[in-house]
Amino acid sequence: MKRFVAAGDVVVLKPNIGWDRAPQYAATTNPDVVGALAKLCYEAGAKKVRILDNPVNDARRCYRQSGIADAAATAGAEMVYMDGRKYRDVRLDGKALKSWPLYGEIFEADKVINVPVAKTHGLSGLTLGMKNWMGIMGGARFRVHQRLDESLVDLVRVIRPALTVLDAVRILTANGPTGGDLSDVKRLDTVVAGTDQVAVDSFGATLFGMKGSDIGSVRLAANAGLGVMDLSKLQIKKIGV
Amino acid sequence: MKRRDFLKWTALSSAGLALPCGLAALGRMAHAARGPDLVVVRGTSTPQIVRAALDALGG
Repeated sequence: MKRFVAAGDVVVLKPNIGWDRAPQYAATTNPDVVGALAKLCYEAGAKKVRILDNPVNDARRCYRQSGIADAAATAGAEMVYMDGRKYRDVRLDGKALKSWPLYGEIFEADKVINVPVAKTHGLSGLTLGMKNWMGIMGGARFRVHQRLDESLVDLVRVIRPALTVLDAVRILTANGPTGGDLSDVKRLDTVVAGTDQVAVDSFGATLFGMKGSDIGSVRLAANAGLGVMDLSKLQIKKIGV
Repeated sequence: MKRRDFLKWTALSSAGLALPCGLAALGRMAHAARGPDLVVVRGTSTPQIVRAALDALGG
């Protein structure tokens, strides 16, 4: 972790805690992934690790039910309940979004680590790393669903995490993003990590038998030069432990 | 062409031909030193797979 986190850093972890669901439903990031990352940040010398999301359901219920509040407490990290006064209009000058209120702490932190869960999504096909940035949007964020892929690419232009760790311990293979049926959940016991968020998402698509190019946001982000979609151009290390 | 000129020409041409391969090799070495672009780790202990992923990315 010392490659990514320096002594004294304030680190923000951004898991997907969007739903009031227990971990086994794979609708939210696995708490053990979040807890392990927080612990590694502290081992690397982080001054503070803060964990936040802007859930669809009630934040207190989501934080507790997901198991992430407990994992944070064990690791000594702080759960942040997002404060409406801390959003700031960020100029995006994108194709779909010209500006949008985004959560200030993402830009004030020394390091940001994106920790999405891999799951299906009714509109975008899949929700992986790039889609997870919707959790720092304020305002009427569901409006962006009208031009979702372009909007996600506009966000990715300004949000550059130090690292993305895609949780595929359990993946939700149908009826995402909410889920709720354990028969839709597949256990892979896997994480995918990298600094290129487009590459992580492109690989993430393969966990569902898809290609990166099947996902609109991945295709558009790669075309915009924001990362690499073509997995043959990447050095990918696979490890079993 | 005099023998001395021929030897100079041969040496320079060889260096020129070797350069792209040399640069490619340097590029590969730099890439390898930086570590993999992506790490995919599988295992039954979630904390261990997270730690292994970070270790493989260069600590």
